[in-house]
Amino acid sequence: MRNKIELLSPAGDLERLKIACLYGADAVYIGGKDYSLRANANNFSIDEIKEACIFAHNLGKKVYLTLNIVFHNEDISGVYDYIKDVVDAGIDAFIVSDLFIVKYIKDNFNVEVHLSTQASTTNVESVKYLKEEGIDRVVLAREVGIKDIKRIIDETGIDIEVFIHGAMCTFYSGRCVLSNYFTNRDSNRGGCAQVCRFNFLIEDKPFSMAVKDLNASYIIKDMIEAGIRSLKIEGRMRSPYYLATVISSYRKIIDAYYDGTLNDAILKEENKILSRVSNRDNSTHFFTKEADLSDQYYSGRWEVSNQDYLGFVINYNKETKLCTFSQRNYFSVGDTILIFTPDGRRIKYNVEKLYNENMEEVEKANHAEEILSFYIKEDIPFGSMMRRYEDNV
Amino acid sequence: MRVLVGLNKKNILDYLDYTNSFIIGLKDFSINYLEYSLEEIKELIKSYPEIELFISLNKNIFNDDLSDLEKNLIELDKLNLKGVFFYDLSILSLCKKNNLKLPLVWSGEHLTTNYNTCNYYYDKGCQYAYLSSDITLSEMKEIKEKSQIKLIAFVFGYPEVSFSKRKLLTNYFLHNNEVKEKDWYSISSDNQNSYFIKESPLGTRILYGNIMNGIKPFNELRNTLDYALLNEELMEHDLFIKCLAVYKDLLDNKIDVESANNKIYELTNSDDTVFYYKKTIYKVKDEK
Repeated sequence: MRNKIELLSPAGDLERLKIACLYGADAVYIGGKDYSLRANANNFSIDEIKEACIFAHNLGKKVYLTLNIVFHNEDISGVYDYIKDVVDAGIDAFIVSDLFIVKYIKDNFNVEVHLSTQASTTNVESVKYLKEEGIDRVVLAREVGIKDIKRIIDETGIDIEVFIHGAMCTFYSGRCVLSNYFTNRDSNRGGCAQVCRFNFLIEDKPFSMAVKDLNASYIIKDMIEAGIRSLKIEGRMRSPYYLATVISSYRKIIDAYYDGTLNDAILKEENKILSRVSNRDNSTHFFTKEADLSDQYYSGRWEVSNQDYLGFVINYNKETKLCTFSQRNYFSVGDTILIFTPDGRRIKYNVEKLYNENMEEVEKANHAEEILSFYIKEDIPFGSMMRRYEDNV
Repeated sequence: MRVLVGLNKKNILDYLDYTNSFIIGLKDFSINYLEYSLEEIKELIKSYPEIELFISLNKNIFNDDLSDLEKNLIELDKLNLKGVFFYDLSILSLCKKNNLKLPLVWSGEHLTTNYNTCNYYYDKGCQYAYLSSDITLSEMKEIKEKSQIKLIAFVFGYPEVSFSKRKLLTNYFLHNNEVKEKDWYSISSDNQNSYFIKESPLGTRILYGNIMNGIKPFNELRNTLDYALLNEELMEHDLFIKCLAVYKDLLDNKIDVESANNKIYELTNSDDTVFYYKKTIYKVKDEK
């Protein structure tokens, strides 16, 4: 029997990495200051990579580093020293798209190499080739359906990773340079300006090529049974709140599958939660069918801002039962909130009293990052988060 | 350096005064060149044995394509082709598996951007690399200095920008209950340049809406490239032939580069060299 499937989270910085690990990710992928396809995320220095590896490894989790830009000549000279530094920092695997980098790492280091989705790998023969080149895992193109994924796994035996949640590209990864043409920012080196989400005109009428987000929560069972090794969440630029919410929902779904308790009610509830942090509609895109007109947007703006996230718990005093948090969005005494913890508990709580840092009663939590407290009998660990309570979630 | 033409008409006689090197697509396997069936390719070679023929198989390959792909590669191997443009690694894998001797052209579209990747594919048996049209002329020259692979680059026509598996036009017209009357349209955003959007059964492509006038880089890359590619796609045939003649005259030193550039400008109203002299950036802070 294969190992339990891996839940792989993005992390744009050390805070997000810790949140992802605490909320149930089995592994986290991060970018360094260079050579990563999210050039404008905070990203990690070598010292931060070391700290990330120590933190994750202490929890039995893995850290993968993206080295997946499409290299230009000018990017080459510094990369060899950088790879050594990252290996020394304790990274578990590199995520790479350029095959000369794959060869260099495999020739010189004993570390896993995963082929990035940027390489748009879509078939059995390509994966066989990559396996012979020493690739340990392939992140398949997002255009590959479950039936094809299963065939690739069955015929190659290689570890396969797929994206299951988050923003989607309209075009094949690696085959789109709209950003280069519109903004001079190089999409294949981390500068993508998401031009596919711009509003266009086609013969003077509104036209859009933007696509909905990906959400594979309802087909996790099929993915596990197809033999996929790792389920990947998109979004190294996403907030800690987003990551905590999405990771904890997928953690519940995956664990329920292995416990034999996964059912429609769980999937429905977790989807209600996932919808609370999404700002676009979603779809399974290519997993179960050819993507069609239902997977796209056609005109206007569709993204909605989200003020669901109320606070981040920074301390809980077990003796006094005082829970202290940093405010994120407005709420007040009398509101009902939901506290969700890294260990997967969800606690409904009616806010009867709120206190400021001087333990003076206040009516409202209305200043961003203000430190406030309330009393609650349940143990609320550091890193727990609070959101509005609606619709039983 | 030779001139390589991407055809838009099957009447090859029109082009033979200017070049005998052509690239065409194999039906159902190429996203951006005029498609020929295997039988038509055989017929073309039989009719014009003097031409150098490159075949494009640059679509993204899926499992269901593999069987036909393998059969086609075995047949293509029997022909005296100058090269086979490929994007998907399955083609490398199948050539190796069947011990085929096809001259392969690594055509990573936007991925062929550095000398080490070119060297990697050279070591894997590829004879040519088709360079990305979003790198600079100086980057191309450095690739030439530091790799052994023969080089091909795009110098004239509408540059390839993006390719999607999605049917973006079909979906749009279906959603609006309208009829898609043609396979390509012009799109624009916020007063920027217009682009072409073109759909085929393989998916949807975006092409830059300006003709690349690559006369100057063409002249500067004489000793760098083995082939300079001019693609007729979406252009009026007569206009393309006139432009092709200018490139040919420059190559034969019958005209100087400034005169050639002016002629292309007069014909196309374009002096756009796209990325040949313009470097892209990738960190927003680099813009400041």
